[in-house]
Amino acid sequence: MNGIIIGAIAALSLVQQTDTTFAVGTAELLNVETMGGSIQVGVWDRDEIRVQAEHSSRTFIEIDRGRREIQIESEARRGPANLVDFRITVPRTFGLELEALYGDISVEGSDGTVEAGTVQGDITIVGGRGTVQVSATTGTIIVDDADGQIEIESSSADIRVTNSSGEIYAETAGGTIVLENVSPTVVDVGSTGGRVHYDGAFEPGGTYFFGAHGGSITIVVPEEASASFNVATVHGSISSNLGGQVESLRSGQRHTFDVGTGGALVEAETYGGRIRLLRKGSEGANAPTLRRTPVRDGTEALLGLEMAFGPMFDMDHDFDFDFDFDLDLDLEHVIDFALHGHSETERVREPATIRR
Amino acid sequence: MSEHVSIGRMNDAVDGLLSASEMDQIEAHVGGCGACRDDYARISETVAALRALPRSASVPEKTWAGIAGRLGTVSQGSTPDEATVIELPTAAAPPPERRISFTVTQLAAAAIVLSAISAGTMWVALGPTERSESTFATTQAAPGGAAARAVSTENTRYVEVVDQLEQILEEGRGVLAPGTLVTIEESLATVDAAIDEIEVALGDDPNSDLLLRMLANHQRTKLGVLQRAAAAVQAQA
Repeated sequence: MNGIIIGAIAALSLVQQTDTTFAVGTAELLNVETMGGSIQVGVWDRDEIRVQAEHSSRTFIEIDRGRREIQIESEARRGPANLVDFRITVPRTFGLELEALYGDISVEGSDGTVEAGTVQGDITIVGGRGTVQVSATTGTIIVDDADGQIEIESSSADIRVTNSSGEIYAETAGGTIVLENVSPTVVDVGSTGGRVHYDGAFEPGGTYFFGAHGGSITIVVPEEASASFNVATVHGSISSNLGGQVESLRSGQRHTFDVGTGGALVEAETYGGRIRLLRKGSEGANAPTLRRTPVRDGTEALLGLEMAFGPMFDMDHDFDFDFDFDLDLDLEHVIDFALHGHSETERVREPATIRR
Repeated sequence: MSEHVSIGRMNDAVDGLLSASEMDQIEAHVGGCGACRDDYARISETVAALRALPRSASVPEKTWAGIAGRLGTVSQGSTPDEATVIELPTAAAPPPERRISFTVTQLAAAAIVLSAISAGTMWVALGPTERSESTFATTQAAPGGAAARAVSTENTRYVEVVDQLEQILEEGRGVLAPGTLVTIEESLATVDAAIDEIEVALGDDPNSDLLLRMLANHQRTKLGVLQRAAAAVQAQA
């Protein structure tokens, strides 16, 4: 008997599909919040937003269309929403605010501002203009082809920024930071427990600060670079091949010297780690490989949600509870499936309302 | 201007990035739109409060014993007297002022942070650019001076903020996924170990601008880890 009930519950909990497209009107910002699951955002050249989502039948998608901001959330009629995987397409220049507590976030091709945050998951941002703000407790953060004020904060995530320009700020307690093929005017990055690797341009008048504690800092210097270097380590080591030969500099004191005619200011500081100044193409000038800690199977995300809200799929309840609970929640979805082949439960409120 | 003012425009306005005519338009709309007026006021107040935070950090209280011992002028455990502010060497061309901007969602978080920081110990919300502009206070004399009390107060506030955030984390351990909790604890252990190392080194070289700057950076990193952890707890509470 018990097996029959569980089977019935599983059938009623089939993954639902939400797929809706609507005009953006005067809005210029999209805000998406989900507890668990992934958020993927792509762009197109239309003044419309398409929202595709996969979720359980007890979860629905709520869309609030405001004049300035469009907000999308996952909701459940009782208790927290389950995992929701979003695929959203927005106008190319739309601003984005994306938050997934447990899940991956990706943005592809944005020409707008981007703000993305997750507690546990990987974040990949391709594009972003003006301001790109990324925050994660753990996971891997990748930013590519961004331009503007790029701010990345993490507790343990590895951070990789490529093909970007503007100002780059990055901080991680335990991760490694890699900046490759970048041409920023300001860099301020630091890792307490990891390494820092920079392979990019030094713009005239630009300022570049690299900090680490026990990990190494590797700065790859282009042949044409013109910069003043100011490097120091307390107990670590400093080596440079910028003069053609590998030379070691004393720890415990600050070293300043110019390459070319100066122009940019480059500072690097470690406590116990090694500082290496290398010409491009030198041995050891390749960026370290970053680890990735995906949570795409949703196991950890579900665990996180359960820690917060209690069991999401509790099979220990008695018969009456299970039956009433699931039948009440899923009946309209079953009907939706029968009639339309997909769930119609997205809540697009008209007229548009502004949530504050 | 009949349409609502976007949050981005409000941030621009607060940052003084708009022309006079653009400001006139915004002010005219905000004057007649309660919703925008509320948002604009919140952004203005929060940014002003963040900018008012002192861009300074100081040596934690427990470091005083080692420093004072090396100086030989203050007995361990006593309160330092006159503080001397040491300007750190700064970049030849200081980085441009970092913009502080908010979304509506961020405003709530900023308010929590401001509340926790109260009158401000660290420039935690101001970002890493301020590192190179930071000043650090130290002392060399006997107990009792106003400057020393200011330094001591600042240290106390930093510790208070850390304590508050750690309390939030402790109380919220049960709502975080185990893997997340382990990551947070490992990150904190990493930063604490770095801080401990630098504090020991400061005992031998209390005036080292390099060590003081590193200490400030690690303290800031620790606050960042704790803030993110507290925010995660609050989001699931």
